[in-house]
Amino acid sequence: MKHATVITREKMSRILDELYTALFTAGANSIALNIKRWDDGFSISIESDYDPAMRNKIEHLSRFLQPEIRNASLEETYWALVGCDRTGEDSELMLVGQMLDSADVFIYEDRVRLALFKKYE
Amino acid sequence: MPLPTPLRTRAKDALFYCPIILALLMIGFAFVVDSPVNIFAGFITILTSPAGLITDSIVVGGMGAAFFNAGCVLLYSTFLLKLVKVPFSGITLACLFLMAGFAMFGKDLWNIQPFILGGWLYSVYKREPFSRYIYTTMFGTSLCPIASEIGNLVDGPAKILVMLVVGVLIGFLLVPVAAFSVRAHQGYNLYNVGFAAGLLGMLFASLCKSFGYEFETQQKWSSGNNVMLGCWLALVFGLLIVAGILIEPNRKKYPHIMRHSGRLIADFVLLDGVGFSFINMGIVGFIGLAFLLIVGGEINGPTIGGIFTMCGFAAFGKHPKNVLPIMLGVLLSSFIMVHDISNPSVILAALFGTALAPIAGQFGWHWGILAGIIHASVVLNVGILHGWMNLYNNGFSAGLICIVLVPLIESIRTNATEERRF
Repeated sequence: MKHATVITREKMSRILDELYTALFTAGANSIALNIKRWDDGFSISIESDYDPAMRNKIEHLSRFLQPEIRNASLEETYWALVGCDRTGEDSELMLVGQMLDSADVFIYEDRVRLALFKKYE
Repeated sequence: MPLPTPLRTRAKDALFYCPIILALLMIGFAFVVDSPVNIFAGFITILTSPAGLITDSIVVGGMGAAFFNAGCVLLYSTFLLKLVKVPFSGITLACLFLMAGFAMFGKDLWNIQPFILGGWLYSVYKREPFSRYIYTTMFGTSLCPIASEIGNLVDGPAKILVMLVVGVLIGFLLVPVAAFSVRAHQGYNLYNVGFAAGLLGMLFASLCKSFGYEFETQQKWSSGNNVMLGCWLALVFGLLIVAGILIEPNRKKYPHIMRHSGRLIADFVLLDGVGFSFINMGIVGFIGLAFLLIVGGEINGPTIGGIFTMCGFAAFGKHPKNVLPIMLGVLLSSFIMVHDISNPSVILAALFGTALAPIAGQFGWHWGILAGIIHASVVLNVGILHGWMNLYNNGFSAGLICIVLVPLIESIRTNATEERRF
């Protein structure tokens, strides 16, 4: 369990890297983060402002984080790609969505709240 | 920019029935061109023959047996994915079309089994569902020739046992190697497992050579079937486009799929929907077929493998805008270098070299052409490292090129401030 938690933590840091970059790209100036460790996994709560003119980017983010299907084999093979590219791709956000076990995205007029959960491996 | 299309039930069904229909088309075609007796005899010959690069199954077992074998491998792979309850998406189509394609020149229903068993044992060892490793395992069957080659080192019934042990061992080891190797090329090589398999194959081949064993290359390359096989391929790609048009109501937005660089993981089914993915697969398949016919190449087992792999990966990263520069690069290399485009290995380099499509998609067509030119040279010289035992030799070459070329391109370009593409 200890080793598994370390891997989950590493994946979490990459997920956060990707999400920060996405939010800043959508015009965020202030991002608040809260991470809690539970018996079965980590919960992440992110609250951020964004530029209302870039609402479509937030809607994209929401769609990517809440995919219709989650395919564990995609995560297993490709998770190391998350958070490492400099140019940015929507495919990386899609991979983040595949790595999470649950995600709720609440979009307001100029703020967005993400409630994410990732189980231990 | 369109949002990802939700997967409707009809579209989900299409993802499952697409490979089934293709398998039935292959098996049906086998019985049209050959008699059941010949197909059965040829099928047995394919199962018992060595499969190193380049072994055209049409030469080994005949046209009917080759298509029958490919259809069986595709059916088996499809139902295996269904059995382990993997959700079907773009990577599924890429994997299944690749399995069908390589069953035309190397893979068969028998020699892939030890590798699948090895991947399953790895999942048992990690206490995880096999579905987590199923794609790497199935892609990893590319090293099937090495198991039979090492099996040939001993005589008698022990041969099968040695082959099984080697296959299981490689299948077991390949999963973690593939998960690591993706970091090396940063997702710019679509055939990641081909790169991992090349590295692992290099180790095994080196060990074998150290014990005095020499690997023999094969050059079984059929010819003279362009009209018949070309019509059959055109039918398959045409059906894909028609299916895509029927599924996707906004088909005029197809060009939007080309906004993706193709860098891993660009699962077009999840990003843009099933309909656009099918249309893209059909178009990329036609591009592969047209290229082959224009350069005067032969449509046979290996080239069908190349075209099918292009077509399958058109649901997982490839589209016309990022594959054409690579193919053009390989073609240009034949004018300025000593190798000729009529060389089977160069033709395969043009088709399989599209593993480097994300370079063209991310950095521009001119870098894609350069990658294609370099690939044509590298791929002809790296096969010896794994004794020509890795069927995804082009994936191995593409991985090596990415390790060198991507950091160079990134250092030359100042793109760190570019806006993200989501």
